[in-house]
Amino acid sequence: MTFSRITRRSASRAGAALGLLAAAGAAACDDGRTVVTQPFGPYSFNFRVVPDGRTIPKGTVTIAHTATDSSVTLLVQGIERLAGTAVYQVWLANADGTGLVKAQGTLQEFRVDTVFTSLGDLKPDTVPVGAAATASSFSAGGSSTLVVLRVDRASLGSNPLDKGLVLVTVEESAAAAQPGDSRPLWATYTPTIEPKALTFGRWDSNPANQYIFVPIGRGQISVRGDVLLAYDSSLSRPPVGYYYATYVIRRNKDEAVIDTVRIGELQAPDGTTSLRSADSSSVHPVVQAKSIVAGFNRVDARTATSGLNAGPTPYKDFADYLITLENKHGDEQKASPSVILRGVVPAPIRSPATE
Amino acid sequence: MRSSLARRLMAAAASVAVVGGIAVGAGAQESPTPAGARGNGSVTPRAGYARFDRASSIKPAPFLAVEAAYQLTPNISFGPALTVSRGQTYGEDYLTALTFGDPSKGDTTFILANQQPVTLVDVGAIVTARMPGTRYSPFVTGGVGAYSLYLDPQQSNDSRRYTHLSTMVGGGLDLQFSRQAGIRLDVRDQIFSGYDRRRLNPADIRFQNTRFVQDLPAPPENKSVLHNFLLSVGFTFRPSLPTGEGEGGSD
Repeated sequence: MTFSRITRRSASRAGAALGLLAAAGAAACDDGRTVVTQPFGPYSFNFRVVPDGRTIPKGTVTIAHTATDSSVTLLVQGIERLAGTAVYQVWLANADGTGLVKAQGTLQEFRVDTVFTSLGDLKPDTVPVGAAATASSFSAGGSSTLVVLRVDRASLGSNPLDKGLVLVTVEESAAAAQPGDSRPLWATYTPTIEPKALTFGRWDSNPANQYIFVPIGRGQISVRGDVLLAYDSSLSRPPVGYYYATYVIRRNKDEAVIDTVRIGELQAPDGTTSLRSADSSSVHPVVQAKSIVAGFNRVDARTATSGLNAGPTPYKDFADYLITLENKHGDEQKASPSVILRGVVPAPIRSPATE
Repeated sequence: MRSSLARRLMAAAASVAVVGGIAVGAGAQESPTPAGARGNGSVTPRAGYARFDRASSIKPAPFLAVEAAYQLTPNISFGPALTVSRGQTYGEDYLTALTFGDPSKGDTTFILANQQPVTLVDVGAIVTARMPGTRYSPFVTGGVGAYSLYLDPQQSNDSRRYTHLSTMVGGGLDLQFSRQAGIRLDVRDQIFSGYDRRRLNPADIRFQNTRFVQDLPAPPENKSVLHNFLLSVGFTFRPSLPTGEGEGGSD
């Protein structure tokens, strides 16, 4: 091996190495700056849900005090139809809750409707549904349902004005001998006061322990791609026998209802703890004495497709977002008429540009 | 700030050059000796690719390094080393949310990835043990020093820097193609201690994204000790021997 060959080879190797170093050096001299505006994935559309509360269970108690008869008439609306054998049981009692008896009376269900007068004007009307019956319990309900129970001396077997409390409880069946834990509607009355509005919540013989439900709360819904997230806050704790659930109403372009989609029961922010039992149990720290400080729902169209639009726009036609107060004995496939929070789904979600 | 950083880098490079020069100069005062002999010195600029520990939140990046070595024995050398890299952080590890519009009427939220360039400077002393006397000389090396992480001052509104202990272990192969020059292939595990990836977050806490967390990539778990994989090629120069001295000894 000659000196010149070695020198040439060394020089070429050194040149290659230096060239490699120079290239790496140039690559290492990155003069990039901070980037804080790079979108990461799709953006989310958000909207608020606000208190509605127009249709929580409500009603009146009316006293009729005549020379020939005395009666107590209970009018109830905004309640959910109960499923199976469950019933709304009506009781009369003394004002302090003693002397409970079933309020046997004449029961009639009505459908609240809008009719036209002979002049063509709209007029709200009540249309009887079925025949009147003698009963102290019922399972009827719904957003347009009105139930009237008239209790008089003949049906009760005594003077109903000797009592001072009307109590509506929810029972497994009409055979219940004593009120259960779910006592959502009540009103006290005297022969001289009429009519009296029903209170919704949970009745207790000790007035200090009575719970009056207030339909409040707020929340924000976010939709990002396939995922819908709902964050709710400051809801009243549901009365015993009730829980919060979430529904979405789908409408077509003519605002006609296509479907009502049940999202599910309200959950704690961890996304795994159902708040179905929040009425009677502190299942999660968000459940306070009289409120639920935070609620959550999540829908992932990649895994939950029931009721969602197929394709890349799963939330198409979603028009109304509802958080309802559901009776535990109600039909879970039907939304309760008690809408607590309501939100209008914005156009980018309801009518996405990408079909 | 940039001039400040440049000054620091230049100072570090000058330190290495001075120490390296001393080492090389010490070798030059010796009588001509074969490569690897005691008293010989070398300087090795290297360039390569650094695959940082994922927990560092720094993307893989090229790096430059230079190290000087003084032969304590024919097998053992000692000297300073400087490694400089400028990488980008993973934007998805630092997500923020920016909302536009009126929340009461519906609004739009952008989830943004925040990435920033960071300058990584590692200065240390290393000891290398090699098998001398052959054209292909494998070696193992280890060292200790300190690394400094310089954040983007434009984003940080400050000349923010974090410095902690670093250690290093590695090995490689020296390819000797003359008495004065050679190529080094080098693999190292650069170990950072006291690391906290949260310091690299360029966004204010007010803008942290808190929604759709389940649907977004989870940032790596914060670790204080990181293992970074460095692969490099370098050019080794031994100026202590006059050209032609002992030529062909390794052929």
